[in-house]
Amino acid sequence: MKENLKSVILLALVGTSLLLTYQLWYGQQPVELTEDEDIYERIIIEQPRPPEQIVFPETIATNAENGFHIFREGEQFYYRLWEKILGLMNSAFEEDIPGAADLPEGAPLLLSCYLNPFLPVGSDQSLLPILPEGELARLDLVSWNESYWIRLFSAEEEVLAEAELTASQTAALKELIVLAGEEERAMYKLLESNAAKAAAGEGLTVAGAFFLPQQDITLARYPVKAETINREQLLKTFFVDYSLARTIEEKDGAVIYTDGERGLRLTAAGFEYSYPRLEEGEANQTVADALNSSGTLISFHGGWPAGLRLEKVTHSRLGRSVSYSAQWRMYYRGYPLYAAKPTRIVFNDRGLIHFSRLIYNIQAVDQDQAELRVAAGWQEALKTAVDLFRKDAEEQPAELRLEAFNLGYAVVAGVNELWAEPVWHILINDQRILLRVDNLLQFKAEDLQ
Amino acid sequence: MNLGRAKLILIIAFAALNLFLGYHLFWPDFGRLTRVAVSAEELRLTEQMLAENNYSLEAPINRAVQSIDFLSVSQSLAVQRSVLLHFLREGASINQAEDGNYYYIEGETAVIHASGLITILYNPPVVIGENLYGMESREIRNAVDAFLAEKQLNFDGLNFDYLEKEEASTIVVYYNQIVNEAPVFSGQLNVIIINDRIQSVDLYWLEPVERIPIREIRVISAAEALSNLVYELGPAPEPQMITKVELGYYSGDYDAEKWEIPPVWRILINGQHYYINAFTGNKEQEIVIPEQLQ
Repeated sequence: MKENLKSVILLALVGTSLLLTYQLWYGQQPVELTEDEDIYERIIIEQPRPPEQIVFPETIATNAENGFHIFREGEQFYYRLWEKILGLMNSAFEEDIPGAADLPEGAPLLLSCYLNPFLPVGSDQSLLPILPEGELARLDLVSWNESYWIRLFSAEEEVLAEAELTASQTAALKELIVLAGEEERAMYKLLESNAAKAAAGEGLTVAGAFFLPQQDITLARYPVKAETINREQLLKTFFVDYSLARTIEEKDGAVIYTDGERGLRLTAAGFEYSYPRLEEGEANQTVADALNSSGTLISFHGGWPAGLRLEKVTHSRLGRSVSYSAQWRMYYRGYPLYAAKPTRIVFNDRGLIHFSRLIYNIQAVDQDQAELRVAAGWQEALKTAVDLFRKDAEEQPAELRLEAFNLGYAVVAGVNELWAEPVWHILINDQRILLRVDNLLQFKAEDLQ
Repeated sequence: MNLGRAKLILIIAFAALNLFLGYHLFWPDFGRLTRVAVSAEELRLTEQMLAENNYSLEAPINRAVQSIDFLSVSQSLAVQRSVLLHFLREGASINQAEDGNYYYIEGETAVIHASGLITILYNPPVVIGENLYGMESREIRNAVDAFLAEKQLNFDGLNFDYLEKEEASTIVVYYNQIVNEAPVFSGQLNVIIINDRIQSVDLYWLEPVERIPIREIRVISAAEALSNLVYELGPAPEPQMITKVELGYYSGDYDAEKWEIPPVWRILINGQHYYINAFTGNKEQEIVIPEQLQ
């Protein structure tokens, strides 16, 4: 009996040792996955905007006596007007494209809407699918013989389509225009080439539609703060497994996260992201798809706050690197903010290559406590800008192209805080000139924050 | 022999064997180190893949499963201070230049760069032996070790890495830094010898900084690192020998407050080192810093 028990124990021990040896020699699973649930969770900072909320007009100008009222991003009436205009376009071209109206040249203009970037229209688009493929650059609403007409223009100033509107279709928009006109508003005029030349000399070409105030404009100087970014959430949007990203704490307080292939540099004000490995690639998306991708990318990586307008989408080729670039700018009550760097993304079919984000928010203060600046006239500002351009230019160009001319804010450093300083913004031959509105002193690129 | 007694002896022997095996497999700490990341079959397949691409594995590889955290470091101010003190005690004259601060004493110049790199130049060069170029590595290393001890440059964690004999009787002796029992390939001390004379010492020393919270992540196996590297390099036109596969830490050097260094598999192929990130499996290259791309 005892011997049998010994035999059983011995056999069991031999069997166990064989099993353990096998386990030790061949191991278990070669490498276990290390991911945690929370690393791969889907991060939604903000739902992407629908296509019709990606491109907003640069300017909506309504006709008033002796000039225009203008409406831009960040103003309450601007959003309401754009909503009504969108509705009007969709209802006017819902079923068919009417024939040419043969309107006379001098038909009174009720409203003009300038789109930049242009808005894709046509069969594949959610907006005006009835129209042939194209891009909408401007929309005019004109009145003639007690009826109203809507006209759509391409970038080449060609009429894409026009349609007569019923009184009921235009009623709500007309009512809104009247309501907006009742607010205390400055009168603007469209800059004409002759007026520009008279102010700043011959050789200046006006390359765009610039509305300029015809009376004194008073703007306040405001404190500004950079947007608050949730760093951990942001990291999760850029790195599939952010626990594999290492950090480098720079001496200026910036922190870099990198996994060796892509890098994210976070500063107190914003961030920059690069993924150079994706640079070589194609960008075969249509402009409409690129606009949607831009909207999705900015919504995903930090969000798309109110007042931030998409101002430029370009397609570029550099060697074997083909990409789209989209650029946004923050607005405050119709005035754009100019900071040290734009908020810009570069992407191609392979993904996001570069993203720099620098968004400042104006801290509203009571008007009676604000430091006010009375803007110098546009003629004086334009002349100063042209003089500065000529002074700084290494070679005097034969022609000066005025590419932008508007009021805005420059983000500059004060003693203890950052300020949005009211400026004249003038773009000549792709060179930006920012002049403090009251004394026309220049803010140089290095002054911007 | 009595059969019953023989059975008893065998029971004791197998029980001991099972205890030993069980200890290695299931003991919480030790077992974790000895769990196998590369099975025998995997190793065979890796060797086969290497051979198909004209590489042969001539080095032992660590088959254990390993978990490790990033290593958080800063420039070693203690080492900078120690070098500086030596120069200041000798009454060094100082010159501030664009590429760094220069400290001069008789026969020695120290250059302290903003990146933390320290270069000590010897003029005249210091003789440490005769016909070093023809000597065995061990003898050269002994002579250099003695020199470093004499100059008080044998810092804690100094670890001989390898040496290279170059043209014109030039020998470069490479040391790295051991932190938390692992080599840090970015922390270096290099000694340059020409014609038996030490010309200069390059020193880039790091200070470990406590990382909170500690989060250990399992590293990829050596076999996976080898596969990734061969995939990156492609098939070799000539036969290549893989002579060393070791786990350590590696990154570029930065003029920063502090930074984290990832674990890497350092693979030596025909005298050239390659670094494979042991977390991501990517070949380590120049780090991507957005500002530098502007």
